[in-house]
Amino acid sequence: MFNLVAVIAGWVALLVVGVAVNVVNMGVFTVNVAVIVTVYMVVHRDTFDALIVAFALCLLAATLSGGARGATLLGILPAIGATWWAKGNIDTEKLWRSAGWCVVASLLADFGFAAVMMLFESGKGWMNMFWHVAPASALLTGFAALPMHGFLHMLDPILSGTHEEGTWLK
Amino acid sequence: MLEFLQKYRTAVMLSVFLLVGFGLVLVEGGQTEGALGPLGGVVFQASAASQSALTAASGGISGFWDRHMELVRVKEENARLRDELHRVIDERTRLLGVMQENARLRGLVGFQEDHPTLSLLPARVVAKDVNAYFRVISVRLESTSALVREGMPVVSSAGLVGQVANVDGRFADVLLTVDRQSAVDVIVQRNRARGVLEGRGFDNDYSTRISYLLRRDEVDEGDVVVTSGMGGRFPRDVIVGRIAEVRRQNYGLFQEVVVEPAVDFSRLEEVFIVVGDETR
Repeated sequence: MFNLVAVIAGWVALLVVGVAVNVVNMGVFTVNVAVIVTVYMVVHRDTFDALIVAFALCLLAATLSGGARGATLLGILPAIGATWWAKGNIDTEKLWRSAGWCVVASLLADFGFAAVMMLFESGKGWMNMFWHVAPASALLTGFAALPMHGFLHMLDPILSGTHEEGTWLK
Repeated sequence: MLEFLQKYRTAVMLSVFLLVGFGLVLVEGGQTEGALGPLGGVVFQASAASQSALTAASGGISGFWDRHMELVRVKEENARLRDELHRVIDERTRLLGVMQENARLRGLVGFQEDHPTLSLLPARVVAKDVNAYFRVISVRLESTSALVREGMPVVSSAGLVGQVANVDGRFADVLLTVDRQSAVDVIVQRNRARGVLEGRGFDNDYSTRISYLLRRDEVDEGDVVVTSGMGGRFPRDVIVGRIAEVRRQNYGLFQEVVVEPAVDFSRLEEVFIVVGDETR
Protein backbone atom coordinates (compact mmCIF):
# COMPACT_ATOMS: atom_id res chain seq x y z
CA MET A 1 0.00 0.00 0.00
CA PHE A 2 2.81 2.37 0.86
CA ASN A 3 4.28 1.70 -2.57
CA LEU A 4 1.19 3.31 -4.09
CA VAL A 5 1.47 6.24 -1.66
CA ALA A 6 5.11 6.69 -2.65
CA VAL A 7 4.26 6.60 -6.35
CA ILE A 8 1.49 9.18 -5.91
CA ALA A 9 3.77 11.38 -3.79
CA GLY A 10 6.44 11.06 -6.46
CA TRP A 11 3.98 11.89 -9.21
CA VAL A 12 2.82 15.00 -7.34
CA ALA A 13 6.46 15.94 -6.79
CA LEU A 14 7.13 15.48 -10.50
CA LEU A 15 4.31 17.87 -11.31
CA VAL A 16 5.51 20.41 -8.76
CA VAL A 17 9.10 20.18 -10.00
CA GLY A 18 7.93 20.56 -13.59
CA VAL A 19 6.13 23.76 -12.71
CA ALA A 20 8.93 25.04 -10.43
CA VAL A 21 11.54 24.52 -13.15
CA ASN A 22 9.40 26.63 -15.43
CA VAL A 23 8.68 29.36 -12.87
CA VAL A 24 12.16 29.66 -11.36
CA ASN A 25 13.73 29.22 -14.80
CA MET A 26 16.41 26.72 -13.79
CA GLY A 27 17.38 26.09 -17.39
CA VAL A 28 18.32 22.50 -18.19
CA PHE A 29 18.82 21.53 -14.54
CA THR A 30 16.12 19.65 -12.74
CA VAL A 31 15.38 17.54 -9.69
CA ASN A 32 15.52 13.75 -10.14
CA VAL A 33 12.32 12.91 -8.26
CA ALA A 34 12.36 9.21 -9.17
CA VAL A 35 15.81 8.89 -7.60
CA ILE A 36 14.70 10.61 -4.39
CA VAL A 37 11.73 8.31 -3.87
CA THR A 38 13.62 5.21 -4.97
CA VAL A 39 16.49 5.91 -2.57
CA TYR A 40 13.97 6.30 0.24
CA MET A 41 12.34 3.00 -0.66
CA VAL A 42 15.64 1.11 -0.83
CA VAL A 43 16.82 2.56 2.47
CA HIS A 44 13.61 2.23 4.48
CA ARG A 45 11.89 -0.68 2.75
CA ASP A 46 13.41 -3.34 0.55
CA THR A 47 14.75 -3.59 -2.98
CA PHE A 48 11.60 -5.22 -4.32
CA ASP A 49 9.42 -2.28 -3.21
CA ALA A 50 12.04 0.11 -4.53
CA LEU A 51 12.00 -1.60 -7.93
CA ILE A 52 8.21 -1.35 -8.15
CA VAL A 53 8.16 2.34 -7.20
CA ALA A 54 11.13 3.13 -9.44
CA PHE A 55 9.46 1.32 -12.33
CA ALA A 56 6.30 3.38 -11.99
CA LEU A 57 8.01 6.71 -11.37
CA CYS A 58 10.51 6.28 -14.18
CA LEU A 59 7.71 5.59 -16.63
CA LEU A 60 5.80 8.60 -15.29
CA ALA A 61 8.86 10.85 -15.41
CA ALA A 62 9.74 9.73 -18.93
CA THR A 63 6.16 10.22 -20.06
CA LEU A 64 6.08 13.74 -18.63
CA SER A 65 9.46 14.64 -20.05
CA GLY A 66 8.67 13.41 -23.51
CA GLY A 67 9.97 9.86 -23.92
CA ALA A 68 13.04 7.61 -23.68
CA ARG A 69 11.23 5.45 -21.13
CA GLY A 70 13.49 2.45 -21.67
CA ALA A 71 16.67 4.42 -21.06
CA THR A 72 15.15 6.03 -17.99
CA LEU A 73 14.20 2.62 -16.60
CA LEU A 74 17.58 1.05 -17.25
CA GLY A 75 19.45 4.16 -16.13
CA ILE A 76 18.11 4.07 -12.60
CA LEU A 77 19.23 0.47 -12.01
CA PRO A 78 22.84 1.40 -11.13
CA ALA A 79 21.47 3.90 -8.63
CA ILE A 80 19.30 1.21 -7.02
CA GLY A 81 22.19 -1.22 -6.89
CA ALA A 82 24.54 1.32 -5.35
CA THR A 83 21.93 2.38 -2.81
CA TRP A 84 21.35 -1.25 -1.86
CA TRP A 85 25.09 -1.57 -1.28
CA ALA A 86 25.18 1.70 0.69
CA LYS A 87 22.35 0.56 2.89
CA GLY A 88 24.52 -2.27 4.15
CA ASN A 89 27.71 -0.25 4.47
CA ILE A 90 26.71 3.32 5.23
CA ASP A 91 24.13 4.38 7.78
CA THR A 92 21.88 5.86 5.13
CA GLU A 93 18.78 5.72 7.32
CA LYS A 94 19.61 9.12 8.76
CA LEU A 95 17.99 12.00 6.94
CA TRP A 96 21.14 13.94 6.08
CA ARG A 97 22.91 10.83 4.83
CA SER A 98 19.97 9.60 2.78
CA ALA A 99 19.60 13.06 1.22
CA GLY A 100 23.33 13.19 0.61
CA TRP A 101 23.25 9.74 -0.95
CA CYS A 102 20.63 11.04 -3.36
CA VAL A 103 23.36 13.22 -4.91
CA VAL A 104 25.41 10.12 -5.70
CA ALA A 105 22.36 8.16 -6.83
CA SER A 106 21.26 11.00 -9.09
CA LEU A 107 24.69 11.09 -10.71
CA LEU A 108 24.56 7.31 -11.23
CA ALA A 109 21.05 7.45 -12.69
CA ASP A 110 22.01 10.26 -15.07
CA PHE A 111 25.16 8.39 -16.03
CA GLY A 112 23.17 5.20 -16.65
CA PHE A 113 20.66 7.10 -18.76
CA ALA A 114 23.39 8.79 -20.78
CA ALA A 115 25.23 5.48 -21.24
CA VAL A 116 22.12 3.68 -22.52
CA MET A 117 21.31 6.59 -24.82
CA MET A 118 24.89 6.63 -26.06
CA LEU A 119 24.78 2.88 -26.76
CA PHE A 120 21.56 3.01 -28.69
CA GLU A 121 22.01 6.54 -30.07
CA SER A 122 25.45 6.94 -31.62
CA GLY A 123 27.71 9.86 -30.70
CA LYS A 124 29.35 11.45 -27.66
CA GLY A 125 26.72 14.12 -27.27
CA TRP A 126 24.98 12.29 -24.47
CA MET A 127 28.09 12.12 -22.31
CA ASN A 128 28.84 15.77 -22.92
CA MET A 129 25.34 16.58 -21.83
CA PHE A 130 25.82 14.35 -18.77
CA TRP A 131 28.86 16.38 -17.66
CA HIS A 132 26.99 19.59 -18.31
CA VAL A 133 23.74 18.73 -16.60
CA ALA A 134 24.28 15.98 -14.05
CA PRO A 135 26.37 17.69 -11.31
CA ALA A 136 24.04 20.64 -10.76
CA SER A 137 20.98 18.45 -11.09
CA ALA A 138 22.43 16.03 -8.54
CA LEU A 139 22.97 18.85 -6.06
CA LEU A 140 19.43 20.08 -6.60
CA THR A 141 18.21 16.53 -6.09
CA GLY A 142 20.13 16.32 -2.80
CA PHE A 143 18.55 19.53 -1.53
CA ALA A 144 15.08 18.48 -2.62
CA ALA A 145 15.55 15.08 -0.95
CA LEU A 146 15.59 16.66 2.52
CA PRO A 147 11.95 17.77 2.58
CA MET A 148 10.84 14.90 0.37
CA HIS A 149 12.33 12.20 2.58
CA GLY A 150 10.92 13.98 5.61
CA PHE A 151 7.51 14.03 3.98
CA LEU A 152 7.68 10.36 3.00
CA HIS A 153 8.77 9.50 6.51
CA MET A 154 5.64 11.18 7.88
CA LEU A 155 3.50 9.20 5.45
CA ASP A 156 5.26 5.92 6.13
CA PRO A 157 3.04 3.90 8.50
CA ILE A 158 5.89 1.65 9.58
CA LEU A 159 8.48 4.32 10.32
CA SER A 160 6.45 7.22 11.67
CA GLY A 161 6.18 6.85 15.41
CA THR A 162 7.75 3.46 15.60
CA HIS A 163 11.14 4.35 14.20
CA GLU A 164 14.04 4.14 16.58
CA GLU A 165 13.91 7.36 18.51
CA GLY A 166 16.61 9.92 18.25
CA THR A 167 18.46 8.41 15.35
CA TRP A 168 16.69 9.42 12.19
CA LEU A 169 17.08 13.18 12.34
CA LYS A 170 20.69 13.10 13.53
CA MET B 1 4.31 -20.98 -8.55
CA LEU B 2 3.08 -18.29 -6.18
CA GLU B 3 5.57 -19.46 -3.64
CA PHE B 4 8.34 -19.22 -6.24
CA LEU B 5 7.31 -15.72 -7.15
CA GLN B 6 7.14 -14.83 -3.48
CA LYS B 7 10.56 -16.27 -2.80
CA TYR B 8 12.29 -14.72 -5.78
CA ARG B 9 10.16 -11.61 -6.09
CA THR B 10 13.09 -9.22 -6.22
CA ALA B 11 14.80 -11.19 -8.96
CA VAL B 12 11.53 -11.47 -10.84
CA MET B 13 10.89 -7.75 -10.52
CA LEU B 14 14.42 -7.00 -11.64
CA SER B 15 13.91 -9.25 -14.65
CA VAL B 16 10.69 -7.48 -15.52
CA PHE B 17 12.51 -4.17 -15.10
CA LEU B 18 15.25 -5.23 -17.47
CA LEU B 19 12.92 -6.82 -20.00
CA VAL B 20 10.63 -3.82 -20.15
CA GLY B 21 13.56 -1.46 -20.13
CA PHE B 22 15.40 -3.09 -23.00
CA GLY B 23 12.12 -3.71 -24.77
CA LEU B 24 11.23 -0.07 -24.64
CA VAL B 25 14.72 0.93 -25.68
CA LEU B 26 14.53 -1.32 -28.69
CA VAL B 27 11.00 -0.19 -29.55
CA GLU B 28 11.70 3.47 -29.04
CA GLY B 29 15.22 3.28 -30.41
CA GLY B 30 16.21 6.04 -28.04
CA GLN B 31 13.65 8.37 -29.53
CA THR B 32 12.30 11.07 -27.32
CA GLU B 33 9.21 11.33 -29.46
CA GLY B 34 6.57 8.80 -30.28
CA ALA B 35 3.21 7.40 -29.33
CA LEU B 36 2.49 7.33 -25.63
CA GLY B 37 -0.07 4.59 -25.79
CA PRO B 38 -3.49 4.71 -24.18
CA LEU B 39 -2.22 4.57 -20.57
CA GLY B 40 0.57 7.06 -21.27
CA GLY B 41 -1.94 9.36 -22.90
CA VAL B 42 -4.17 9.30 -19.84
CA VAL B 43 -1.23 9.94 -17.52
CA PHE B 44 0.02 12.72 -19.75
CA GLN B 45 -3.39 14.37 -19.95
CA ALA B 46 -3.91 14.16 -16.19
CA SER B 47 -0.44 15.48 -15.48
CA ALA B 48 -0.74 18.28 -17.99
CA ALA B 49 -4.03 19.40 -16.48
CA SER B 50 -2.56 19.31 -12.97
CA GLN B 51 0.53 21.19 -14.04
CA SER B 52 -1.57 23.77 -15.79
CA ALA B 53 -3.44 24.40 -12.55
CA LEU B 54 -0.17 24.52 -10.60
CA THR B 55 1.33 26.93 -13.11
CA ALA B 56 -1.68 29.19 -12.85
CA ALA B 57 -1.43 29.12 -9.06
CA SER B 58 2.29 29.81 -9.12
CA GLY B 59 1.82 32.54 -11.72
CA GLY B 60 0.72 34.96 -9.03
CA ILE B 61 3.74 34.14 -6.89
CA SER B 62 6.17 34.41 -9.76
CA GLY B 63 4.48 37.63 -10.92
CA PHE B 64 4.87 39.08 -7.46
CA TRP B 65 8.50 38.00 -7.42
CA ASP B 66 9.10 39.46 -10.88
CA ARG B 67 7.56 42.76 -9.82
CA HIS B 68 9.66 42.76 -6.66
CA MET B 69 12.83 42.11 -8.66
CA GLU B 70 11.82 44.80 -11.13
CA LEU B 71 11.40 47.25 -8.26
CA VAL B 72 14.82 46.29 -6.92
CA ARG B 73 16.33 46.91 -10.35
CA VAL B 74 14.48 50.21 -10.66
CA LYS B 75 15.74 51.25 -7.23
CA GLU B 76 19.32 50.44 -8.17
CA GLU B 77 18.97 52.22 -11.48
CA ASN B 78 17.40 55.18 -9.71
CA ALA B 79 20.34 55.45 -7.32
CA ARG B 80 22.79 55.19 -10.20
CA LEU B 81 20.96 57.83 -12.22
CA ARG B 82 20.76 60.12 -9.18
CA ASP B 83 24.52 59.88 -8.73
CA GLU B 84 25.01 60.56 -12.40
CA LEU B 85 22.65 63.53 -12.23
CA HIS B 86 24.58 65.01 -9.31
CA ARG B 87 27.80 64.55 -11.22
CA VAL B 88 26.34 66.22 -14.30
CA ILE B 89 24.98 69.11 -12.22
CA ASP B 90 28.40 69.59 -10.61
CA GLU B 91 30.04 69.52 -14.01
CA ARG B 92 27.47 71.93 -15.43
CA THR B 93 28.02 74.34 -12.54
CA ARG B 94 31.76 74.17 -13.07
CA LEU B 95 31.36 74.73 -16.81
CA LEU B 96 29.05 77.70 -16.22
CA GLY B 97 31.70 79.18 -13.95
CA VAL B 98 34.33 78.61 -16.61
CA MET B 99 32.08 80.17 -19.27
CA GLN B 100 31.41 83.21 -17.12
CA GLU B 101 35.09 83.61 -16.34
CA ASN B 102 35.84 83.22 -20.02
CA ALA B 103 33.37 86.00 -20.85
CA ARG B 104 34.92 88.28 -18.24
CA LEU B 105 38.42 87.58 -19.49
CA ARG B 106 37.29 88.23 -23.07
CA GLY B 107 35.99 91.58 -21.88
CA LEU B 108 39.31 92.36 -20.25
CA VAL B 109 41.14 91.39 -23.42
CA GLY B 110 38.76 93.63 -25.33
CA PHE B 111 39.57 96.48 -22.94
CA GLN B 112 43.28 96.01 -23.58
CA GLU B 113 42.67 96.09 -27.35
CA ASP B 114 40.69 99.32 -26.96
CA HIS B 115 43.49 100.86 -24.90
CA PRO B 116 46.73 99.55 -26.44
CA THR B 117 48.89 102.20 -24.81
CA LEU B 118 48.10 101.00 -21.29
CA SER B 119 50.20 98.45 -19.41
CA LEU B 120 47.81 96.32 -17.36
CA LEU B 121 48.51 94.05 -14.41
CA PRO B 122 45.72 91.55 -13.67
CA ALA B 123 44.32 91.12 -10.17
CA ARG B 124 41.50 89.11 -8.65
CA VAL B 125 38.99 90.56 -6.21
CA VAL B 126 39.16 88.72 -2.88
CA ALA B 127 37.11 90.93 -0.50
CA LYS B 128 34.73 93.87 -0.49
CA ASP B 129 33.35 96.50 1.87
CA VAL B 130 35.22 95.68 5.05
CA ASN B 131 34.27 99.09 6.43
CA ALA B 132 30.85 100.74 6.28
CA TYR B 133 32.38 104.19 5.73
CA PHE B 134 34.55 103.29 2.80
CA ARG B 135 33.99 101.72 -0.56
CA VAL B 136 37.11 99.64 -0.83
CA ILE B 137 37.85 96.22 -2.32
CA SER B 138 40.82 93.97 -1.72
CA VAL B 139 42.53 92.40 -4.69
CA ARG B 140 45.17 89.72 -5.08
CA LEU B 141 47.77 90.51 -7.67
CA GLU B 142 48.37 87.81 -10.25
CA SER B 143 52.07 88.66 -10.53
CA THR B 144 54.72 90.71 -8.79
CA SER B 145 53.58 93.74 -6.84
CA ALA B 146 56.83 95.62 -7.40
CA LEU B 147 55.25 97.68 -10.18
CA VAL B 148 52.16 98.61 -8.20
CA ARG B 149 52.07 101.95 -6.43
CA GLU B 150 49.44 103.79 -4.47
CA GLY B 151 47.20 105.94 -6.65
CA MET B 152 47.48 103.76 -9.74
CA PRO B 153 44.21 103.50 -11.67
CA VAL B 154 42.24 100.27 -11.56
CA VAL B 155 39.96 99.30 -14.45
CA SER B 156 37.79 96.45 -15.55
CA SER B 157 36.39 95.49 -18.91
CA ALA B 158 33.36 97.68 -18.15
CA GLY B 159 35.31 100.79 -17.24
CA LEU B 160 36.98 102.64 -14.42
CA VAL B 161 36.97 100.89 -11.03
CA GLY B 162 39.01 103.16 -8.84
CA GLN B 163 42.59 103.60 -7.68
CA VAL B 164 45.06 101.66 -5.57
CA ALA B 165 44.82 102.82 -1.95
CA ASN B 166 47.66 100.75 -0.56
CA VAL B 167 49.78 97.71 -1.41
CA ASP B 168 50.95 94.97 0.91
CA GLY B 169 52.79 92.04 -0.62
CA ARG B 170 50.58 90.46 -3.26
CA PHE B 171 47.47 92.16 -1.95
CA ALA B 172 46.21 95.66 -2.56
CA ASP B 173 43.25 97.77 -1.47
CA VAL B 174 41.40 99.59 -4.21
CA LEU B 175 39.45 102.76 -3.44
CA LEU B 176 36.37 102.60 -5.67
CA THR B 177 35.11 105.57 -7.60
CA VAL B 178 31.94 105.45 -5.50
CA ASP B 179 33.86 106.15 -2.27
CA ARG B 180 33.40 109.59 -0.73
CA GLN B 181 37.15 110.18 -0.86
CA SER B 182 37.41 109.36 -4.55
CA ALA B 183 37.74 112.21 -7.06
CA VAL B 184 38.29 111.67 -10.79
CA ASP B 185 38.54 114.31 -13.46
CA VAL B 186 35.94 113.42 -16.12
CA ILE B 187 34.32 114.80 -19.24
CA VAL B 188 30.95 114.15 -20.85
CA GLN B 189 31.83 112.30 -24.02
CA ARG B 190 29.20 113.99 -26.20
CA ASN B 191 30.14 117.64 -25.58
CA ARG B 192 33.43 117.38 -23.66
CA ALA B 193 31.86 119.20 -20.67
CA ARG B 194 34.24 118.77 -17.76
CA GLY B 195 33.75 118.06 -14.07
CA VAL B 196 34.96 116.06 -11.11
CA LEU B 197 33.43 112.67 -10.38
CA GLU B 198 32.97 112.06 -6.66
CA GLY B 199 31.59 109.09 -4.76
CA ARG B 200 28.43 109.54 -2.75
CA GLY B 201 29.20 106.76 -0.28
CA PHE B 202 25.60 105.68 0.17
CA ASP B 203 25.05 102.43 2.05
CA ASN B 204 23.02 100.68 -0.61
CA ASP B 205 23.86 102.70 -3.65
CA TYR B 206 26.99 102.66 -5.79
CA SER B 207 26.09 105.92 -7.58
CA THR B 208 28.44 108.85 -8.08
CA ARG B 209 27.98 112.50 -8.94
CA ILE B 210 29.81 115.06 -11.03
CA SER B 211 30.74 118.24 -9.22
CA TYR B 212 31.90 121.45 -10.76
CA LEU B 213 30.02 120.88 -13.99
CA LEU B 214 29.08 124.28 -15.33
CA ARG B 215 25.36 125.05 -15.37
CA ARG B 216 25.54 126.26 -18.95
CA ASP B 217 26.85 122.89 -20.18
CA GLU B 218 24.01 120.98 -21.79
CA VAL B 219 24.05 117.40 -20.51
CA ASP B 220 21.24 114.87 -20.60
CA GLU B 221 20.42 111.58 -18.96
CA GLY B 222 22.18 108.74 -20.77
CA ASP B 223 25.22 110.75 -21.76
CA VAL B 224 28.43 108.73 -21.42
CA VAL B 225 31.02 110.02 -18.96
CA VAL B 226 34.70 109.22 -19.52
CA THR B 227 37.96 110.10 -17.84
CA SER B 228 39.56 113.28 -19.09
CA GLY B 229 43.16 112.23 -18.54
CA MET B 230 43.91 115.55 -16.91
CA GLY B 231 45.74 115.46 -13.64
CA GLY B 232 47.97 112.67 -14.92
CA ARG B 233 46.62 109.97 -12.62
CA PHE B 234 43.91 108.33 -14.74
CA PRO B 235 44.31 107.50 -18.44
CA ARG B 236 41.97 109.33 -20.77
CA ASP B 237 38.80 108.04 -22.42
CA VAL B 238 38.12 105.25 -19.96
CA ILE B 239 34.38 104.90 -19.51
CA VAL B 240 33.18 105.87 -16.06
CA GLY B 241 29.41 105.61 -16.43
CA ARG B 242 26.22 107.22 -17.76
CA ILE B 243 24.37 110.23 -16.51
CA ALA B 244 21.33 109.03 -14.56
CA GLU B 245 19.93 112.29 -13.27
CA VAL B 246 20.51 116.02 -13.94
CA ARG B 247 19.68 118.60 -11.25
CA ARG B 248 20.01 122.04 -12.75
CA GLN B 249 19.05 125.04 -10.62
CA ASN B 250 18.17 128.49 -11.85
CA TYR B 251 21.01 129.98 -9.88
CA GLY B 252 24.64 129.22 -9.15
CA LEU B 253 27.60 128.32 -11.33
CA PHE B 254 27.32 124.55 -11.36
CA GLN B 255 24.75 121.86 -11.85
CA GLU B 256 24.57 118.53 -10.02
CA VAL B 257 24.63 115.40 -12.08
CA VAL B 258 24.20 111.84 -10.79
CA VAL B 259 26.18 109.21 -12.66
CA GLU B 260 25.47 105.49 -12.67
CA PRO B 261 28.85 103.73 -12.83
CA ALA B 262 29.57 101.57 -15.84
CA VAL B 263 31.11 98.98 -13.54
CA ASP B 264 28.82 96.70 -11.53
CA PHE B 265 30.81 96.76 -8.30
CA SER B 266 28.67 94.06 -6.70
CA ARG B 267 29.78 91.53 -9.33
CA LEU B 268 33.37 92.55 -9.76
CA GLU B 269 35.76 89.58 -9.88
CA GLU B 270 38.74 90.48 -12.05
CA VAL B 271 40.36 93.88 -12.50
CA PHE B 272 43.44 95.37 -14.11
CA ILE B 273 45.82 97.77 -12.44
CA VAL B 274 47.16 100.30 -14.92
CA VAL B 275 50.89 100.24 -14.20
CA GLY B 276 51.92 102.26 -17.26
CA ASP B 277 50.55 104.61 -19.88
CA GLU B 278 52.64 105.31 -22.99
CA THR B 279 50.74 108.47 -23.75
CA ARG B 280 52.10 110.15 -20.66
